[in-house]
Amino acid sequence: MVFSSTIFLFLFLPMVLLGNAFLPKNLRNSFILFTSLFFYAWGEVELVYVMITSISINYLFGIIIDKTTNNRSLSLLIGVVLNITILFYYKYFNFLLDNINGIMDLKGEQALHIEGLHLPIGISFFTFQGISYIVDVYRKEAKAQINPVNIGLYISLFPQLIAGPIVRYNTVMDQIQNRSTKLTGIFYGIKRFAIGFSKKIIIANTLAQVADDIFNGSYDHISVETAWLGIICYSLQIFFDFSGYSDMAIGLGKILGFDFEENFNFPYIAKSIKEFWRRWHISLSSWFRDYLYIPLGGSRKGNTRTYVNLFIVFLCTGFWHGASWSFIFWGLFHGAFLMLERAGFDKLLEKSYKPIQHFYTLILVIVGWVFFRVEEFGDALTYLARMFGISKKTKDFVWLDYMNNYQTLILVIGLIFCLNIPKGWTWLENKTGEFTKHKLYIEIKTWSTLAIILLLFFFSSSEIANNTYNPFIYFRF
Amino acid sequence: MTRYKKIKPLIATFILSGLLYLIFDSAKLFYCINISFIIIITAPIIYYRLLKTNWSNFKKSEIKQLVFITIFFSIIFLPLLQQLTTFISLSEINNSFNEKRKLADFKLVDKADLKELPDKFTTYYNDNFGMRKFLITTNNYVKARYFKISSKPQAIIGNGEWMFYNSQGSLADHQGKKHLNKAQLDKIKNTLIERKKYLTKKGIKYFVAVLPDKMSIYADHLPSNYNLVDTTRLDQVLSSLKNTNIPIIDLRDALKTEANNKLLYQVNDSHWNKNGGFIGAKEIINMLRQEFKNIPAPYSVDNFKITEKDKRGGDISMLLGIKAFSDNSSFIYESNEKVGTKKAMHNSLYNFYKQNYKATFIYEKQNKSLPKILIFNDSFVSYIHSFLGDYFSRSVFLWTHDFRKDIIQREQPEIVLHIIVERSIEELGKSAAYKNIPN
Repeated sequence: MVFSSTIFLFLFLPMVLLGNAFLPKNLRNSFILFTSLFFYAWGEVELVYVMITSISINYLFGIIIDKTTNNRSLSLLIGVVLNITILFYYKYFNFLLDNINGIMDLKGEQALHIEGLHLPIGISFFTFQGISYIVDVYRKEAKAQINPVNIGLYISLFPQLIAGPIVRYNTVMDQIQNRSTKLTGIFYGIKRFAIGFSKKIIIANTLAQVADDIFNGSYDHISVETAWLGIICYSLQIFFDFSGYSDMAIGLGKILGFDFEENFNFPYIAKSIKEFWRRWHISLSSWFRDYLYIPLGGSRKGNTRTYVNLFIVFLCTGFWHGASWSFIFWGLFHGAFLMLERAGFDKLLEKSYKPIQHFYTLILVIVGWVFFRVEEFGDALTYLARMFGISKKTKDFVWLDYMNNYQTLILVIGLIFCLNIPKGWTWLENKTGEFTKHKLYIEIKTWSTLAIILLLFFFSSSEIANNTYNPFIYFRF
Repeated sequence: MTRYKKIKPLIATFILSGLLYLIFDSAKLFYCINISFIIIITAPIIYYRLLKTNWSNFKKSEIKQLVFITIFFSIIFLPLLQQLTTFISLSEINNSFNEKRKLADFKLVDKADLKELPDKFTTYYNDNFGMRKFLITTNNYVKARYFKISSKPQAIIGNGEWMFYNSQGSLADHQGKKHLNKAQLDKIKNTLIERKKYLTKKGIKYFVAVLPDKMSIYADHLPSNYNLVDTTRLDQVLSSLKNTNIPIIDLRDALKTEANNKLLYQVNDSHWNKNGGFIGAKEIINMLRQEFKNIPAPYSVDNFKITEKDKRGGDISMLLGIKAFSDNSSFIYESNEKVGTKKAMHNSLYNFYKQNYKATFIYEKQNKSLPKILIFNDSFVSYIHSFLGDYFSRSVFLWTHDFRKDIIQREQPEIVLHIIVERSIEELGKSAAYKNIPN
């Protein structure tokens, strides 16, 4: 089930909220666990057993690691390997086989391939949560959980199940055991959910149409402008889609009484690749920092090791996003510039004019997205060549062939909302003087903000309703 | 005072939600009252159980939050409430809505095994969730009215309230992106020549009339960025038929001239209206009179009493589930004694278009010296048959583009006329197999 569906919004969510409100407190965790598994099974059917297996493994290994005094490292190793094995089997095994086929030149009947291997949605997220839990227990940063419902809830909690943020055991365990819902929390949660929902439906989905039109066509004759329009729309699409999902997750968590950590912090205003990764998918980069980079030695073991560690982290980051060479390349591409910055380029960068820093970061991020979006590596290079004007013969660019007025408006809105608008607004208020401190101004501001959020939410929900409208269109009326 | 405090959030909720829906459902106060009523009933329950608010120590800042939460909850709860109860009546919207397909039934879900249940239920639910039509209509209305976009590629929103129908490649055609190749043109040409030969042998005259697309006549009302071209598929066909002696009439010029004086097409429908039909009939009769001198001269417009017809929701706006657009572009032509149109008859044998839809029109006149005519046509004929029916002793209008030899045989007309709308022009070259009607 996805958040942007009628079933979720008009059926599942109301039911969960009602259940959560009317059930006595001691049943709420079981109820939310049940609904989360239901939520998962709705989209993935029998693959829900993969998730249940993952929960069981981590539950058991948490206890084993906690109870044993000898061979704790071995227990941890087995636990982590089991987690990784599940992930590897479902996500990467066919990719590995394809590569073996390529190397051994196996074709047709001979080719190795597992038929019907379907990627369980969110597996990368919940596997990572499982690993971080047993590592935390190993590090004695967390106590092993005796109640399987609590561990089940930690791993399968539906708001963040599909697209993160990757939650840490320590952050949510207190809330799982003891949480209270307050009016302000519900209010904030709803606001956050409504904003995320609108970001996904209004901005991401609209710009996805433009991006898809361009990326799904042939790249042979597209002009420089078209190529840029396509990748800019895609850059906005992926940001508003992903951060919209995070907003919805954080919001839903709040409504139910959980506090998840932030996952995005205006990534496109970053001034370096290093800063970008502190603002983009924060829960993933901090996961890699805490559970890969630091265990590898981080930056404490000398320069060479640091670079090797960074290389490994970004190799894994790329690979985590998907089983293909393009994702690996994308990860290493970011890694390479991060290393370059580390090698002293950052000093040079900091001294330069600010717009240059932004320009440098944005160009790299955007170029990176080309590899992220285009499946075939060769096609990605062709697309890049078009972006930078290396091409044979191109068609003339006509803006309105690609964009209608609404899409243009949304593009502009999307570009504006990449910036830190709340901060800018406060700055503006301080500049404009006294009247912004006036009571009336504050009242108008809060009420109109709320009204706008509700209008956008209502419009977005009517949009998903409209997606179900498929009139049969007669050939002739 | 404390009492007032208690109901204050409810009043605020009532007013704000009323306003909200008022904006979206332009002046349908009736819904607002219904919906606000629901909110008033549900709000205390939500507050009491979900939030356990202590009513007596209520902070002012919490009013905003309560109002906000209530409206949000009402948006996500209303579909469920409407599905479970018949409390909110949306009959007016339901009636204005025609999806032209059978919506998924709950039987679908009943029969599903566990593995396919989610998919089947989703199909069922997406066709049947509460407030569905209200939400769809609202969404399309807001998009069409304020952003000038439509969610269906077949419907184009133009200037003002104009809507255009894009089908069979009509938009691409007018933008110069779709052309007929030599083979397609030859196919049309040869088909028509063959038909003419066939009819000539039987002593029947063959004519073709092409009715322009709305965007050929009212291109000004299309969105300005569409970059229309002058040469379309129709022009290609006309020039390829130049050296043949197929009488084909192109109504574009006649309609364009008149378009400055009155509305010839319906504003949010894909069809022309009676004004357009009247001019079309005049042109067609003038063409036929060159061969058949005894056909009376076309009637003047003075022979009719013209009144505006109140019609809401043309086929294009219905495609978007919208009925709210006003459309004062339909007219009724009432003839005086001189013309004296008879009522159309139907023949169920000739109903090819749709079983339940009486799409055949037959007119008969007392004056047997007038020729008999058989007309192949499409939906555009609805606005022209009452005019054309006056000039022949028997006029049979068949809603098909198939060249039905069986009916030609049966009717033995003197004239076969093929009326076709511009966007269907490629249909002229098609010869589909059909089942002969029983004799």
